[in-house]
Amino acid sequence: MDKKRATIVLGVIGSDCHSVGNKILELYFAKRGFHVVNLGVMVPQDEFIDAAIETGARAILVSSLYGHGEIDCAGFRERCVERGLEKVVLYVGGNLVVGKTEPEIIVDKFRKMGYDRVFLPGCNLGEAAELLRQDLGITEPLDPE
Amino acid sequence: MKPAPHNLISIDIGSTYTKGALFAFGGPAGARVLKRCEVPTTPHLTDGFNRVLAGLVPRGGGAVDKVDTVDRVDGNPRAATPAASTLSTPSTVSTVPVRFSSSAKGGLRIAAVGLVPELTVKIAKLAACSAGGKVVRAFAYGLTSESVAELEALAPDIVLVTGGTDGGNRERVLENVRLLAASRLACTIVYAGNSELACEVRKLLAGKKLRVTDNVMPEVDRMNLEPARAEIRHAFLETIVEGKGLAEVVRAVGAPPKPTPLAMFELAEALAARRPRWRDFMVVDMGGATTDVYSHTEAFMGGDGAVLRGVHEPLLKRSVEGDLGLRVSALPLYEAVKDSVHSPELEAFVRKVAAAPDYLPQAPEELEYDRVLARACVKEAVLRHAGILRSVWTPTGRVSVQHGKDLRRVRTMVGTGGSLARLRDPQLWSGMWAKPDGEELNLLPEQFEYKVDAEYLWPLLGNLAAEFPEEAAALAENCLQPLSGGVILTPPETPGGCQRRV
Repeated sequence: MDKKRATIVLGVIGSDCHSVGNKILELYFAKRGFHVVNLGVMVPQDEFIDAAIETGARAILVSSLYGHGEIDCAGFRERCVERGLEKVVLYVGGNLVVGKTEPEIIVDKFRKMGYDRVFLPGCNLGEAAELLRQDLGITEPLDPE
Repeated sequence: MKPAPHNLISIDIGSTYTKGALFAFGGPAGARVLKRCEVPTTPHLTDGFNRVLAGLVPRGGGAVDKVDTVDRVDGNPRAATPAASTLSTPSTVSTVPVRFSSSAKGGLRIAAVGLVPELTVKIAKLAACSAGGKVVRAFAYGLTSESVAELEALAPDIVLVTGGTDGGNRERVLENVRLLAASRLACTIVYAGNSELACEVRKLLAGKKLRVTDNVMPEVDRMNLEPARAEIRHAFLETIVEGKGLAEVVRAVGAPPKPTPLAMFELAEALAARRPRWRDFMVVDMGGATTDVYSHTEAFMGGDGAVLRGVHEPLLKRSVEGDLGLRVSALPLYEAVKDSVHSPELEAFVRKVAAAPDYLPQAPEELEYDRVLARACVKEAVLRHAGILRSVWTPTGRVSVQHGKDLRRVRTMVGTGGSLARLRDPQLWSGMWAKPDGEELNLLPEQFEYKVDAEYLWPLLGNLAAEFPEEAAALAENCLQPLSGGVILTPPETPGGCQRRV
């Protein structure tokens, strides 16, 4: 991977305090060669954006595990644009809605909100990292797992 | 065997008074103050300084350890006639080492430039305050030609430029630096932003007085204040002393000055390091124009599943409230607190003292107005210094989210500054907890003893604290008067009050 590693901002949005998955993501993406800025749990939208501005991050990875993702995540893309992050890559993943909803409907809903990619329970982290590499236009391969 | 006592003189040039004291350190009786002296600050700072110095230098030479004359040259401004300054020729030479501080001529005026208000701008302000500066203006995100014009008009002593983590934001930080390079600013610029840009910054600002140092925020939420503080101190000594009219004093006594708040900061550090009971304490310095608050306590303890959001504030923090003071700032103070203390009589008093900052109230009702204002002032200043704990309902139960600094464990509150010494009001803190709250808890001290630095020795001891921490700390502790009579003040347990909710 590049000598100058791509910076990504990570965190669990809203009033969600699930911290285990967040730690796993931090360790995994760091191992694959990304520079990870992990904001931890209960992160408001503006704090993701604050951190991305200061660190020059090119991607924001939003997690939501507690079922209220739809409310917490709405308007994030618009807020990024308002605050000067027009080009930032936005990912969202987790238990995004409560109850049984078809995966396609969930993905469609969050894509319409402006998230570039949507990850649901059971997704493969290796695939996610590979997609992130492509979306950021990184030409070198990622570090091994 | 006890070491021989030695004398030291410490002088503080304030904006209204120049105060000094002669100390004996290291004698069998421990650290003591032998003599006090106070005169109105003179437009030419050296005059007042020399007058105080002449009043303090021991006669006859040799070390003195006897408190025979705790002098007070009267501080009444009207008693100071120009004739008295004939005493103070620059030739006053002291055989005793002299240390001094100054907050005259506006103190150390710093403008802060950063990116995000809650991150680098906030940290830049903390760095400026902890170096003894007063933040005259803070700019977030990109500077504009208007903000640069404003900066030029403000003419600060230092512009502190931050922004970006190491390896982080480049474009906006460099754009800000380019605008500063093209400006007419002649003051010192301290660059403490994204360290990757240091070379480019040096090139861009080659025509300016520039100091480049480590980033105040190398990573998100990690603060690194010390290098920026050190550069601000150096800039103060090398370039700002001249402009503040202190160069002559430096030449006369052969010692560098400190900004007064930095002296206080160093005293707080010495107390925490040397005195066992000084772990969690606060100092409030209420003046006519500003109110300074210092706190020494761990900012975030966690526990009960509490989550900290935003910057993890430092163990020792200083905040400066430029709109809270009993005289020059009486009107903005009244504006800030009038919801709780409103009355036409009080408002008339506020207008009177704001117009005549030298006014010393004599009548009982006027003294009472002063006390009411002082109570509101310290309450507001401490509220602004303190963090907040909010209860948030989540699907898994209630979680507490903390912003800012937790002051609940503070056990000692020290009042210093002319107003608090003069008022000696045991009820000063009576209204502090009486703020209605909903789901929010202001993280105020829960129980503490209130003590007053009645002789206003703390800033003077602060000048000596870096060199003689042991003795400065011991004397600072011993010279306090326990105003609450040794009673621990606690908040009232009323249903609408501010008792613990989490």
